[in-house]
Amino acid sequence: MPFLRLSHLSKDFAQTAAVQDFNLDIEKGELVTFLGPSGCGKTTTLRMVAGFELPTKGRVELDGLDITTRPPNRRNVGMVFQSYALFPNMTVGDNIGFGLRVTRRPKKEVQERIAEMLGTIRMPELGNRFPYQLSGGQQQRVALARALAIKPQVLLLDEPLSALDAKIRVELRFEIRRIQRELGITTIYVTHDQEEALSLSDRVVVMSAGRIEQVGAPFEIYNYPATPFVAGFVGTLNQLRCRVVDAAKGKLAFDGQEFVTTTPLQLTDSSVTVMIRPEQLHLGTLEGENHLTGKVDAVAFLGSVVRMVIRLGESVVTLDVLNTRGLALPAIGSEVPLSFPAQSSWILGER
Amino acid sequence: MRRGTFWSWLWIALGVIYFFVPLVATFAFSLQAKLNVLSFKAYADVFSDPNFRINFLASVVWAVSTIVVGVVLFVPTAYWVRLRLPSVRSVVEYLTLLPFVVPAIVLVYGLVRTFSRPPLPIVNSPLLLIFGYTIMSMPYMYRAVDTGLRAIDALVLTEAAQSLGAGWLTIMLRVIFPNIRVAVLSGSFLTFAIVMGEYTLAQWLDKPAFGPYMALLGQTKAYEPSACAIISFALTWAAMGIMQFIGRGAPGGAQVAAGH
Repeated sequence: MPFLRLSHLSKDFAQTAAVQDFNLDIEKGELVTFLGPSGCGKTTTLRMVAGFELPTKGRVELDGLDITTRPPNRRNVGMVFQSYALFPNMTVGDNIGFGLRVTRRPKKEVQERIAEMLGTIRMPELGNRFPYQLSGGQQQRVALARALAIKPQVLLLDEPLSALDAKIRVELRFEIRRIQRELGITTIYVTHDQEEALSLSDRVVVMSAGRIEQVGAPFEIYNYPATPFVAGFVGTLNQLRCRVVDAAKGKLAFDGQEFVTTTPLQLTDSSVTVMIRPEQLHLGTLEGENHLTGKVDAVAFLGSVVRMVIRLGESVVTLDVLNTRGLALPAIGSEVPLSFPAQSSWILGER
Repeated sequence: MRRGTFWSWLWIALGVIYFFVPLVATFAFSLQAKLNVLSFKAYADVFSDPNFRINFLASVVWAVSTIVVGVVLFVPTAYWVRLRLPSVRSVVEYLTLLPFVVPAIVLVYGLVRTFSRPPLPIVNSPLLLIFGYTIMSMPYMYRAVDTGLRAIDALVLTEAAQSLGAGWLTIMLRVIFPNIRVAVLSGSFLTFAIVMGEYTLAQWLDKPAFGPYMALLGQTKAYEPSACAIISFALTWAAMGIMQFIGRGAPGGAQVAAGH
């Protein structure tokens, strides 16, 4: 029996289905991310776990107990909100201690727990500040400490970093992961940011239009997307519509240029869509690889990588090159050779 | 730029003159109770009149009671509408504006007719006056509270408190109320100012109050009504001043809390 089981969860809002038949088992101590575009049902699912929404159908079981209809204040589930939601009238310490005071724990225990949590979020000196005296990142740390102070069975984070600026976001992402690992707390993390999801999670649940598209480890999700949606949503992906030249030998043609793939082809197919990640393509003509020739359409310097858009006839492909100080960027409009290994491309089942 | 400044000052000056000339005139008149000498005699007369004290204190009692009823009634209502019934918000807002449209005299006749017979014959009870005042102050109190709730994002704070194990009463008393304190206070002071000067309801329900007292004074005396007008002005201003002082730049009162 898993620690948290969501079975056949569905939620309808005024005839429109926000979540449909959501099934997921989460093990103790696991960090699972719900990833998807806005309106895909990820937050609604989280809110059903928190008790803020009542499922139209299905069950939520926590540690073997059915908590589907239990009110949120009797679930022992910690929640962190995008807007921090700290109580403005209370100090940082009082915010953290709120959950313990509500349940009438002894004063000494509350004080000790507040000090301990301030240590965990590395803000030991700031217990007497008020929320408005803190930066956004600090406020969200306090919100995290407040949620964890009650020793919840499950921690729920609803886009916790979306309101922060880029640098703090990355910093706090690792901080959340560190604390989560230290405490071994079962966590659901909702985000629309794929980088966040991939870098943080034990497992990622990709959602679209109220349904689960794929569940898997970040590596699997990125390298073996199960559906066209996942392939398109997670990371950047080149999708090349190719003519099948010789299905038995895996020979294809794109823009009149032939190449091979190791993915088996159906003998009946006359054309297929080939997927290839930008980082699998490189400039030059490497021995034993596929070669294509195109014209440089655009070059964008992103820091650690340089992203180029190369035109091949009617369509374009995106290609990433790792930055080095000796790198010579090709001129726009110049003709460049590309190569990629035969096994780096794949073909998704046609719909 | 200079032209703009000139016109701005001109309009401000006109506004100040429009507002202050009657006030200054009233004040000057109130000082002329003794022939050919400026004095505070009129004020001394007013303050030494036992009827002034009775009526003034009565109005203070009505005002405070109205505030208590208003807070108990409108804070939970506004909160609940915001949280659970956002669809009826426009209807409730319309209802809260009705007292502006219904003249006090109409309201008081309605109250007298309805409550002078069973099942609730409370026409002689001070409760009816307080409830009437509660209705009259509803636009101010309800809107102040509603604005306060919007400023603190009451829904998310409620959910945060719920997930930490808090029940409704705890949420109300320890999360919502302290954070809309400034809004409640401003609604309260407006209510206070309205009730202190109100005439129609107190007159027709035949209860002691400052408004009818001033009116009576106006019919029988010359200088004392002016003194009373200045006193009630001062009172209103004091209320506004306190409101400003407590609400200094506060979104929901956090800064106030930081002060102590």
